[in-house]
Amino acid sequence: MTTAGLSEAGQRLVEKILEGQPAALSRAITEVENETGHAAALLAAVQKATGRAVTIGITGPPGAGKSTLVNALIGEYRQAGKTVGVIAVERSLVTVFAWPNTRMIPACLCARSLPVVILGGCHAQQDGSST
Amino acid sequence: MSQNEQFALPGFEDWEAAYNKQLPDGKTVRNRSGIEVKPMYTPADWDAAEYGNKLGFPGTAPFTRGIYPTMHRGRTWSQRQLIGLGIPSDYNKRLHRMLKAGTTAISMIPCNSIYRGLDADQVDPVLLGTCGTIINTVEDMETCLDGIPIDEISTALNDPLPFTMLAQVLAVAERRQIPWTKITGTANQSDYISHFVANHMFYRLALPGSRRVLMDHIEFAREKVPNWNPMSVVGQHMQQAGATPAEAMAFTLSTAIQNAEDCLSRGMELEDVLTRFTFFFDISVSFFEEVAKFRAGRRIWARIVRDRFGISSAKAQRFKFHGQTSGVDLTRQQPLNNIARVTAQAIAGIFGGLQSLHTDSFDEVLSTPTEDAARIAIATQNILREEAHLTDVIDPLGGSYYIERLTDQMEEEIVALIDKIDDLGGMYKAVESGWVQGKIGASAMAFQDRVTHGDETIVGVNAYQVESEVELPVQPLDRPAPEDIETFIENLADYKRRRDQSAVDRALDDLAEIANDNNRNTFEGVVNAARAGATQSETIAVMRAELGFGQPLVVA
Amino acid sequence: MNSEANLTRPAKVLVTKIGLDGHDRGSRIVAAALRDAGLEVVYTAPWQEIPTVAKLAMEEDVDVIGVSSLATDHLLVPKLMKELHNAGLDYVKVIVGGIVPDNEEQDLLDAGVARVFHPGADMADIVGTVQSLAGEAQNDSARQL
Repeated sequence: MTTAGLSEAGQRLVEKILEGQPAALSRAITEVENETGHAAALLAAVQKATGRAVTIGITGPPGAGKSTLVNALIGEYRQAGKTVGVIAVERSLVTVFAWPNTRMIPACLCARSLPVVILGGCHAQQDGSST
Repeated sequence: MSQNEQFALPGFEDWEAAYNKQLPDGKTVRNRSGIEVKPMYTPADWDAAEYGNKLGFPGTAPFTRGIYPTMHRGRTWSQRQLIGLGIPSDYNKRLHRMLKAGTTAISMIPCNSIYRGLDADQVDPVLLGTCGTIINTVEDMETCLDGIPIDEISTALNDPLPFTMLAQVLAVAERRQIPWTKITGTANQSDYISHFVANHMFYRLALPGSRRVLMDHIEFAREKVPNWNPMSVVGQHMQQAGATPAEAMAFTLSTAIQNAEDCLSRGMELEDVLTRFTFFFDISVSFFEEVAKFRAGRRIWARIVRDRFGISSAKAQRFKFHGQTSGVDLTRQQPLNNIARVTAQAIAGIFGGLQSLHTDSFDEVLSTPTEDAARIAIATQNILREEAHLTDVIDPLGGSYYIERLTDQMEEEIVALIDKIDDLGGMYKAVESGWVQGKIGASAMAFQDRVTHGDETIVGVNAYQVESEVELPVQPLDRPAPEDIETFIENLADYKRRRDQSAVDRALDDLAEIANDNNRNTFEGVVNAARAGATQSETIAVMRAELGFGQPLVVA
Repeated sequence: MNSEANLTRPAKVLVTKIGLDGHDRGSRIVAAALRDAGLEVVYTAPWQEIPTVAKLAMEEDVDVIGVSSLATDHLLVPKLMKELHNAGLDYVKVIVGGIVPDNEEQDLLDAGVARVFHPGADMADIVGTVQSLAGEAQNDSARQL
């Protein structure tokens, strides 16, 4: 079955995502973040394989312990053999050097290996929040 | 007399008119701290009647002209050149040569691996011994100091807390039956705040743990190594990270205030402690600004000790400092030009009244200094003293309308910043909140902008560029021989096999317990670990595990 | 968007330090300059392990890696290049900035580093170079969809 709007390379990418390859996922996220021409088709193709996830929302004021909780949950679910996805809306701002409104992404979220700071980017908004 | 009042000097107006005629579009000149610098200064800018109030005499309050009555005439500054490279025997050889060439005091730099708290067997060998000496054990320290009378020569150690190098030196002293009371020198990198904020090279432990370890170290030294200066408050890192000279001085003094308060909270006798405080500053090439910065700093510190801490003894009010010429001002383009830069920086430090000086080698920007370049750096100091006679007169720029006015202005800037930090709850809190880091970063970026736009001239870089560089003879890079490194690593493995492992384990277990017991002294634990044969990495690993590493990258 | 550089989306750069050095004034200033020019910058603390850098480059799907180096840390860069190759990240362009002795610069270029910047380098030059390298990386056939 052909996937509407996707090139061969795009279809291969979708296959790799569904196989669980991080590089493919990362590549696809780039497309979606930047709202490129491929984004809609990629989302549509991947969406067919979704719908079975349990969605949990976690929110709270800064310092409440969200990151810690998420980290712990990820650990537990992975141990139980589940796959986990995290969508983080990082609103807290940090001060680094002289960079105002900079996002600090802790290591525990998503698949990032270590804490990093993100400057700029297409999705950096006025209030410093980001998705 | 107010600053704005034109002093009725005959001829002033004529001069001003002639000046403005020739330079109708004269740009405002500002120094690095942002203070406007006029083309000329007169008695309208500084009234000599202020002498008693603002200057006084060297050795007594307000100390503007110097902390000792004789200053460099009585005792010239220590020529304390940083030495660090290769394996311990390399260090020992170069130290002996530098002592012959005129160095009068020791400053040891360990390998970067040691700053990370790693031993030679934990790091890619290609990184070892290239910027400092690999010293992992007491045995290594023995080799470094072979034939060196450590009871006679002052030894500054550039190791950050928990001061494993000092622990090794103390163990060596013990073996040589030299009482610890004879050990003199300074813990040059004891300022954990500056490491957190500005130079992560030396960063090792989270802030709260660092605070405690520093206090333990000061307490231990006061009791057992009384001639050791356990506290060197460092302005160098912040200035090198981009703080303006006024900011660097203000943040340093605020850190000193914080440390003094912490010592007080510990029940230490402050007058005694302050007598052993020393400072460590960067000397940039902004000549007059640096001289004014140091003079202002001296005056402000004496006042802080007297008014804020209520201590009137001159010994406690003395602002003792070591100056290092700033590597940040040196360029890679036409490196020999750096000799001129270092000379200007050194003179500024000398006129600023420092007690100890390190002059950079001109090839600092290319790699770790070669021996020839290191010799020129020392010769520079000797020439300034013996040929240019810079030490014949105390505070020779004192009384200059410019210097006095600038000293006052720097003082205002510095005090305003100290007040701001007070408002934030003191230096520790100001750093926790990220305010200090933000200021330093903003100044660093502003400076870069000025360079990019040509407002700040750097000869050979954004002005006076040379089409084709004169080829310097390619120096063989001063790197340790791979065989030497291999041997070192083998010896380390051998050492671990030979030593009394159970004694080491006991000492490290005890250290872990101490770290969790606020009533015990962590530095004492570090010294015992060294005596028992633990390597520096093993000791630091325990400290990190118990006290935490923290995250200097960001402040939430 | 920098059309000269053929970018299809904002360039994404990883600014990092490997090895033992901890001086980060230079890397922070470069990161700020890149950010101001519209790039997205992922900035790490110093002392990163090489496998971690490769993994992060993949996770963040970066176009360029900028390595800030002092002391002899640059001697590790060829190992980074190998790691990137093993991770299938040949399209990622690598630049090095900092203190690199003249007679070791060629080794880095031979290992695949695109450019070495020395102290005093022009900021506009750095930013422009990163933009055009990012353009090459984005248009690499391995990444086309």
